[in-house]
Amino acid sequence: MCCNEYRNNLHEYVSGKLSELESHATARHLKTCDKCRREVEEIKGMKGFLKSGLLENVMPPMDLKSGIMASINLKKYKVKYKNSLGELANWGMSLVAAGLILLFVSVAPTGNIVQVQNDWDNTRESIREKINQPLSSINERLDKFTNRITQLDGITGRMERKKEGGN
Amino acid sequence: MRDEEIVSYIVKGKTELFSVIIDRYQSKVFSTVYHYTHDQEEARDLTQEIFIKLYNNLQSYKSKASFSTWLYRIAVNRCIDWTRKKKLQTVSAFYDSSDEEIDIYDTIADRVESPEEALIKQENKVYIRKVVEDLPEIYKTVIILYYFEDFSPQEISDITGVPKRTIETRLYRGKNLLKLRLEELICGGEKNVLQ
Repeated sequence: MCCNEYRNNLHEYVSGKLSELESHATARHLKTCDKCRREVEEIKGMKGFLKSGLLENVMPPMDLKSGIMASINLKKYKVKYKNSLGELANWGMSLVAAGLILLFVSVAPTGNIVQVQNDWDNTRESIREKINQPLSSINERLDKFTNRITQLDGITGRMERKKEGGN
Repeated sequence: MRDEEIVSYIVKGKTELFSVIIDRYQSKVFSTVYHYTHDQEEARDLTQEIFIKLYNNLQSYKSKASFSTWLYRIAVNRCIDWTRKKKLQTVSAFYDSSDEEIDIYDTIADRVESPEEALIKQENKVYIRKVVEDLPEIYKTVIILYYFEDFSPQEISDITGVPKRTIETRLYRGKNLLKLRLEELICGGEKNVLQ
């Protein structure tokens, strides 16, 4: 770091607000740099000199706090808080109302519950018929086919027996 | 409880907690203001104004900056405004205050070695006050905050919104200007006294 860079931090150094590393580096620089060392001495000297002019005790008046508290509007934020609570209450009421409406809507069909059950049974029956119809048709055809095979089997048997008798 | 927490309670309705903020900062704010006004009553009125303004603007406080920095920003801005208005009302009384000059000359007459030592020994606060008061505004604020209120250059930068490097430069130039004016004044005073 060059001299100028150290010089830019000398007031911070005197305030004791530099990091440990920076402070250590600055202190090391001051050992070798007369100009910066003089500057630090001047800052410290000026600080002491100016502070010596502060002999009068600059204390706030005793009634400053009460004066401020009396002058501010203590209800300023309370009103706002109350309003926000009111808004919250309004939201709550709206939610309750919405819940009640939903409840009524969901409860309304229960009067026709038997009807709904019957409708559901009919639909289910119809679906079952639609599935069963093609299957029973296939079954019938298979039965017919099986009968024919049996018949053919009987004819074949008779023909063989005739053939044996002819021999 | 941290300042930021207190502020959040206040804006939620616990406004009485503002008294805690006053307790914490009234001394330092009053002291800063006093270095601008050098008048107890003016300082009192300004400090009161600053705290009222602070209270009324608590909602706009963003926790990006520390609360104390925000508060001192309000305070310093108010003090700068006050100084500007004051300057419009009155010409600087630095060289006009004959009573104070007599006081300064009396003390310088008794000085022992260097002018600085003489002033320190005579505890001439009026003298220092006038020199600081007469500084250009850009130097006055940094000099007050650094030398009287012990803020670091970084803190002054946060309060004023001016880059830290600029603050260091202003402190350096402000100190040299202060030194020059102190020496000029003391030498002038010495001559007058000797004549």
